[in-house]
Amino acid sequence: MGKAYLVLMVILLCSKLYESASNSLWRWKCNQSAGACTRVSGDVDATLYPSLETCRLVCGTAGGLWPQPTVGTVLSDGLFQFSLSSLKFEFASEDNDVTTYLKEIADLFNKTLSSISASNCSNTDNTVTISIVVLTNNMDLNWKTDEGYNLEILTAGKENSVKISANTIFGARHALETVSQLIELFSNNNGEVCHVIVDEAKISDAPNYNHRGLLLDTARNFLSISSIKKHVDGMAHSKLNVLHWHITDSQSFPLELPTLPNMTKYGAYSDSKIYHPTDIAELISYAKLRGVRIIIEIDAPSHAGNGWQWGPDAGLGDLSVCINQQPWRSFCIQPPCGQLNPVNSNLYKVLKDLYSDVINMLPKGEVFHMGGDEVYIPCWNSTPEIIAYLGDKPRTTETFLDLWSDYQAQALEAFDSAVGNTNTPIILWTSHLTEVSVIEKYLSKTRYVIQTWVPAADTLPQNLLDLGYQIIASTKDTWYLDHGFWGNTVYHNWRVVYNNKIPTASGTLGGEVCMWAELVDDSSVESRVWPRAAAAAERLWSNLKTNADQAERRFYRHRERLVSRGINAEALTPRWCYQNEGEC
Amino acid sequence: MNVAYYPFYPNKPNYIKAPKRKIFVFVFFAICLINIIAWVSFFTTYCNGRNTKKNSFFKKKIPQFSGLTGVWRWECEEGYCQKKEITPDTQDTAISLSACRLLCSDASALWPKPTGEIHVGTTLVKVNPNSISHSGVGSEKRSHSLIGGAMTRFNKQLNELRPKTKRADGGKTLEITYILSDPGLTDLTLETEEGYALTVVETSDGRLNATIVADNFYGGRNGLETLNQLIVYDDLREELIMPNDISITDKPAYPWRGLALDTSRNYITVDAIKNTLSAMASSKLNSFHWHITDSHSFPFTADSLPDLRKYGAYTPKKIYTPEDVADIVAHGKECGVRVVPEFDAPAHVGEGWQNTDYVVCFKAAPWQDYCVEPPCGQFDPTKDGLYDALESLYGDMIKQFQPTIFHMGGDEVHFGCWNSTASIVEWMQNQGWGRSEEDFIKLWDHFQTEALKRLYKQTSSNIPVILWTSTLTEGEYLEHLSKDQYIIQIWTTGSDPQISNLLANGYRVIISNYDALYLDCGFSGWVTDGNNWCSPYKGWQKIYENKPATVAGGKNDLVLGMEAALWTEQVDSASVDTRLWPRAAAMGEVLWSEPSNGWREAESRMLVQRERIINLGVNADALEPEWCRQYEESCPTNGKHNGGEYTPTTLMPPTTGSATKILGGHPTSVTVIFLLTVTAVLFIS
Repeated sequence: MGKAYLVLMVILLCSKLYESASNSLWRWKCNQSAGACTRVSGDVDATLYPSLETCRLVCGTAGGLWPQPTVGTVLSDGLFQFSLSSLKFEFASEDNDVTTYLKEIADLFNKTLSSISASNCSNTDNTVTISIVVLTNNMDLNWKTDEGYNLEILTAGKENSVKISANTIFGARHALETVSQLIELFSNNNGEVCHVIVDEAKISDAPNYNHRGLLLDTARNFLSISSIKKHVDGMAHSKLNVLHWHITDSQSFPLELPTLPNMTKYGAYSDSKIYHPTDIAELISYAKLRGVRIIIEIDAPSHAGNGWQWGPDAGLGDLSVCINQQPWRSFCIQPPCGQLNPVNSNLYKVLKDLYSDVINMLPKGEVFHMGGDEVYIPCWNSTPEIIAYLGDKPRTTETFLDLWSDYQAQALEAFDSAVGNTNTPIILWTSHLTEVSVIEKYLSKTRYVIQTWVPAADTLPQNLLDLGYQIIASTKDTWYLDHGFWGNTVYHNWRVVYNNKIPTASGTLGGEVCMWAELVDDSSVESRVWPRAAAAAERLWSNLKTNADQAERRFYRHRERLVSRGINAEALTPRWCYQNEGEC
Repeated sequence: MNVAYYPFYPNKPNYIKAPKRKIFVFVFFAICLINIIAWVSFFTTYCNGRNTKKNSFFKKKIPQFSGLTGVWRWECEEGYCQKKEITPDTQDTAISLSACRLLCSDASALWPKPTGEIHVGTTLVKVNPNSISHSGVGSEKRSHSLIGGAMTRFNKQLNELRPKTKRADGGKTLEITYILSDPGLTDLTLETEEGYALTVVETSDGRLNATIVADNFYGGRNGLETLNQLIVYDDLREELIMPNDISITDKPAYPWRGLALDTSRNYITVDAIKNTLSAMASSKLNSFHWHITDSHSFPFTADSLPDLRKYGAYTPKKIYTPEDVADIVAHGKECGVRVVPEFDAPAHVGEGWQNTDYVVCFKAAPWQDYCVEPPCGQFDPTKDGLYDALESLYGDMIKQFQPTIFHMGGDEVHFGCWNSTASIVEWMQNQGWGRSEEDFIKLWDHFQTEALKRLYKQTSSNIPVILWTSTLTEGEYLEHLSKDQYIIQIWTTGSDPQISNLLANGYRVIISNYDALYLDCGFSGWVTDGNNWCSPYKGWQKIYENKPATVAGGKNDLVLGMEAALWTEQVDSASVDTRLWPRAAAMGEVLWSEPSNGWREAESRMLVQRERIINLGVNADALEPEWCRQYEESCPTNGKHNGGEYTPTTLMPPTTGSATKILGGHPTSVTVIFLLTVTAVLFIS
């Protein structure tokens, strides 16, 4: 079917579609071969779109979709006008949980579209029916979950049908996300705001990596639950699926633990800066509905200070040492210091309780992040209790690494006994324990997944893969979003973020962009994370061979999409460049 | 009766040490009270413990102290507030972080630091935010409504300090009296006196009397801003408190304390601009330079030339109506801020002018040949009709802004553009000119002279005009510009020799050196790979160290002040707050207080100022982990509470000798003693 015919058909369907917009001088023309929408003024013309957004829907191979679908994308250049009130859902699944989930994501879909702008469309003759088929009853989101989907849009007369099929509810959710990106607002000639959907499309899509993450640090500075939800929204719109929650650190311990109330009593910045178990539960279900799982990190044995002071008062001895010790540069990497006391056997009892409390908040079998970065030996080496424990052993680096790995083994044991089995995958950051020469001595490759945070040029990720470890890549010189505001670090602009290619070997579960929060809190975290995290999202979902320049138009569109959906994403360019594609 | 808020403090200059004034009877009652609390606490713990299936052993709770929320108090140590655990010994004298700052911090944490006398008493009293009144400027005075507006802001801010659930009444009445020599003055000019004297005393019947003496509203408003910063929310006792004895005199070092905001590269909402003005007020910045148009878009509504906005706005909604401008100008005045419009010309024009033939090179490609960033566009100075249009536009701007000073832009003229335009080249030939740089300067001068004439036809007096530095302000070309008429805004580096040339020739200048004061630096490039041209990001420390006297090669009265600039290629309303704040506040202190100290000495107060800006509803960037705010001077490597100078430590532990550091160890458990006391007292009773 020829493109011109399609456009013509649409005009017939949506009578006077393009005669409208008396309030704007401008129209947009799609140059399909260049994939560019050009702003023009002048007379009404059937080949012109009334807004950049409607032009972008269909212009180029992937229109305005973000991330770009991987298996195949065919979009017509015709648009079908409809009212949201005439949009219906049909679910084929018999399963109760699945249908409940589908109903909820359908509601969310409607809410997302209607929140962007009030529509007052009176065109109720045209109907859109979205039917969803989910082939399995699997409700779990993990590294094995099939998130792929097929999507087909057809128009016959006044009926537009959207057919979605997926193996899991999460694939169906991603499909709906894609559909939401195939719909735009449209002001018709009656002064009404309606919606348009691409009238014919065929998309087949599945992610390249199953772990597509964003790390949020809520210990250096506290982030409110509503702020975290904003990030989950942004992740959903960009098909990121893991929120790695670096919830505690030496600065503060905001996670309330029912069994260990002292952790927040001593560790929270204030009474209002605490995450209660109910907050966590709510957030987990909020995230699941948006295709996002939450992985909790309790960083240890280093990065553990404030919150751990209460041991002596409780008769348990020092659970952590060097807490708030000065001058900090002698005892840790950044202030305040604090490192768990590996030679205090009470510590492991407390850890077991801590892990139990955390496990109780998480879905069954959810992986856990034990941190394990930046252990600073001079702290332990200056602690009399630890020195005494070591006795006659030479206080060499190796001795302390052994001590550290003993800690790790006992912490794992505490975790396993809390969970009741030895199956939970544990994630650890790269550290001295994960050096290629020693990792096999210290860490089992069947239990531990290693999150690498070395620069792009470092071979460690590949070396670990070669040894048979599974990895998650957080390339620090491209994916650390805090860079550019301290020391000699450089801001990693969205192109750098996008162009970061991580290993493709099957042991690579995926990657994460990291928002360390020394220099952000609620007031600036959204603009620091977004839209750059979305650039990583396409790398992890689509992993295109092309670089950022080819993605620019879709990315600019996606930034606007995030803003219109309530996320304060940073501006990337003068709006002029957005409205005049390819001219900057 | 003069009742002190903290009964152990009054008249004690050394508030750091809590004086021991315990009387045995009081001790007995105190022990009884503690007893009750302890038992309540014990039962609570015990009962909670029973409800949990295991490990109640670890659930031991911290005792709660009477009337206090939280377990932390702050103590002043060597001028910095340190977080400490509340103990039975310290509960009576425990103070919150905000109270500690009033009593302990340099200049009571005021920002910018007052330049005259600073006396802030050590008795803090509870103040009732619903019982604040003002007097002194009658409704017949022209600044009456401005005072009213400033008071409304003041009251609103005090309310915002308190959590919504904790806004109970009570506390002392605060009466503010203004004594203004010139209550008729409503326009802020370069000559306006902005100083003030603020005194607060408590009357014998327990009211707080604040008196602000100033020449005019602007000084009065600055005094009010200072008073505002001295009223804080005490989250230990959940009330607003302030010192009951204050005497401060203060005036700014520089008359131009500015912020430039571009609303053409990306549109900034009216609300975001008003927020910006509020944050400026809190740092006593006084000049909002509005770069309202550029080649990218024309959001300004010129009633005489409606096509400019019709063609030039990004969308029909991304505009500023005359009502919006009036709103912004009025809000600016209440904030002590003059709003200075810029119409940048002859370069930086484009969108909006499509229906005229006044703009050449519009959207020319490749843009690198015709301008410095896309889209290109430059006025054609040879078109006579252009000057009529400019006069109409200036007329509309003057009418809407009523400015006391005007900005004509004048930066980045691209001679390649003019040189590529046949009609311009021909016109120049007819003048008998060539096509050298000097000749294009003549053309530019022709434009500037004609444009200025038209501007002054629309103003009632020859108000000062600002121009950016450019080729026109260099070397011998400078003579085209009258130093009585023009003020030059410097945007090159702080070490540019052009600066000394301008000063030597007697020009008044405003400094906006991009290597410290361009707030857009450090983010993505948008016309290239890599980061933007003036990267890296300018941290607040860099801005604080950028002193006018250093840039000008010595203190010089021709330096009117400085202006931080935010160009908005990569900013819109979504992140404008974060980009501007709190960094612009750092410059605020540099210009108001002209500190001789560096950023390190100002750091603790700067962290407080950031919180004040947040309290205005402005999304100021975070500067440090919150921990560093709670333990002042503990994070910097040479911080006062960081054990002195840092000596690098290697990963390898020492091979010989014992550990160098012995842990202080926790004191014998305070709680154990506490519980023993409780038990003992119980037996006795």
